[in-house]
Amino acid sequence: MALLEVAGLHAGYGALQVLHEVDLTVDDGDITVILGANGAGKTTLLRALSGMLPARGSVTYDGTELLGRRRNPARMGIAHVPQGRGTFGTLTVEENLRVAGYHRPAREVESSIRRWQEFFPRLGERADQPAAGLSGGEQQMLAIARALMSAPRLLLLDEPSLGLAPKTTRGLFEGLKRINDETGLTMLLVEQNARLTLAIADHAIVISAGRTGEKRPAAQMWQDETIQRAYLGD
Amino acid sequence: MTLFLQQIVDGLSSGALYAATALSLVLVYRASGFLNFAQAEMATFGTFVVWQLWIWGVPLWAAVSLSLVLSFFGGALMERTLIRPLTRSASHLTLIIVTLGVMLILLNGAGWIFDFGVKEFPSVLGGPVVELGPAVISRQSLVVICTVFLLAAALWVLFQHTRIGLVMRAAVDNPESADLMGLPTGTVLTISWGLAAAIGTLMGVLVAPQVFLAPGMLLPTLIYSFTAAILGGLDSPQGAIVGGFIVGISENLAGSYLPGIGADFKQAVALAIIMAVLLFKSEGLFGTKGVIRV
Ligand SMILES: Nc1ncnc2c1ncn2[C@@H]1O[C@H](COP(=O)(O)OP(=O)(O)OP(=O)(O)O)[C@@H](O)[C@H]1O
Ligand SMILES: [Mg+2]
Repeated sequence: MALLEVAGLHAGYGALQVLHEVDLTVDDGDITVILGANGAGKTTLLRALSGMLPARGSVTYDGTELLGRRRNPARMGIAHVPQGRGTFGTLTVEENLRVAGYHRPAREVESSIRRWQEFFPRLGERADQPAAGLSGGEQQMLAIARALMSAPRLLLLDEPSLGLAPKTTRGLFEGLKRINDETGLTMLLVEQNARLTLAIADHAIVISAGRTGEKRPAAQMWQDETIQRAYLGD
Repeated sequence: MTLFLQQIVDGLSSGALYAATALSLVLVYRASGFLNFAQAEMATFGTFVVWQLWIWGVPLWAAVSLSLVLSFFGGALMERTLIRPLTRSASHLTLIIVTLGVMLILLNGAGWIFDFGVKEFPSVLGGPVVELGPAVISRQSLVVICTVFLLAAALWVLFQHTRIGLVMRAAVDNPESADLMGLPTGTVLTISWGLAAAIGTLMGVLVAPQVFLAPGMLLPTLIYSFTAAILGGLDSPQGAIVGGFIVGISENLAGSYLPGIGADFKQAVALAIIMAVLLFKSEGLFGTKGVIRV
């Protein structure tokens, strides 16, 4: 069953139209990856889904139309890890997690903090340090853990591999896969790094110049020659 | 030596007022990103409300409490109805001009309602001066200084140990992320304006017995409070407190010891401090780098 269904989505910045006709579905419990080059419109798509940009078309989440509603998608169970992470640098690591649980009961928040600190041990070790002092990989873990603190049903991830060493990225993606296996959390991941993402994804979609292609099983995408040439190197 | 000590004590007294006003300015600056020129007049207006209630026979403590609540809602209302709708479209310069407009409306409004004559205002704590070694300080000034420290402590608890305080810090740190996470960023803005207004009224009430209540009574001190806020870094509550006391003490010392400054020319000290901060350390003593743009 589709948790998220996007049809005929158009969005942009003022007069600049970036997304033309985006159609996609994300199945409940799946990891879906959207592959696209720089400037293809990946970030714009996620921003439109979280209501940060005006958009036309239709975005149905769990049976409800999101476009044109005033309700913040974050309050409906959609957590967005933005490109560049967006952590609160002047807050400590633990405060970053705690504030993300704002809408949940206090007891759940404390146990959730412990849970994600165990899952990402670095975040436990650095609990009392300002988030600004974390390394790039740790910042990304914090951004993901912070998103998970809101107990979402759908996790939107914008290029989590950006600026990370391949080894760090691999560890991070294995973590995402493990969360997906253990909790069944649905994820929509936009990436340029096809090699690592296709390895953990169930389905993949290509976006180029603001238009989406057909959704295909990740394993099949992996075999595709044009994909190999465009995203996997030679 | 006695004169020197006395100047320090006097500097602490006036510094406490600057510190508290700077605290209000900083709360608004953190929330909305500009300096509220109406801050002093809002405080004076709140003090007039206390005076009116007191004249009508309401006990002072009740009049103060009521006016603090009204001030909180007044500040909150100003944010909701005037500032926020403009923030979407207008520049900070426009907003500063709007606060100047509010200042003039409150100044003349207070004059029109309560007339421009100087009014006597009851002290919270009267009685003989307290001797601190060779220097002396009035009981009311001691109350003012203690109140500022209590305010600073209360704000520290609010920011560091409450849920809403945590959201306030997050919203200042990265408003876009805070919005994206569905945190109540709007509520937090409103609370900041309300708190700033209430703190203003509290200080107005405490200094009114000394400066005498009249429209514009705090305007002469506003430049010092601005200086204190800028010196402290504009976005730092503890910076505002430290800045307030530094400005108060240096203003008093310069007035007595620097030839040619004297009582009439003391405001130049504030301007000199602002220039020095902007030139040599634009983030102030406690501020975040890149925050100052006034
Ligand atoms: N804030 C903005 N204002 C105007 N145009 C923008 C803005 N952000 C992005 N664009 C434009 O929209 C297009 C798509 O940008 P977008 O950020 O969605 O790409 P992307 O696929 O996320 O790229 P990258 O992999 O580099 O992050 C680009 O041409 C870009 O110049
Ligand atoms: Mg992007």
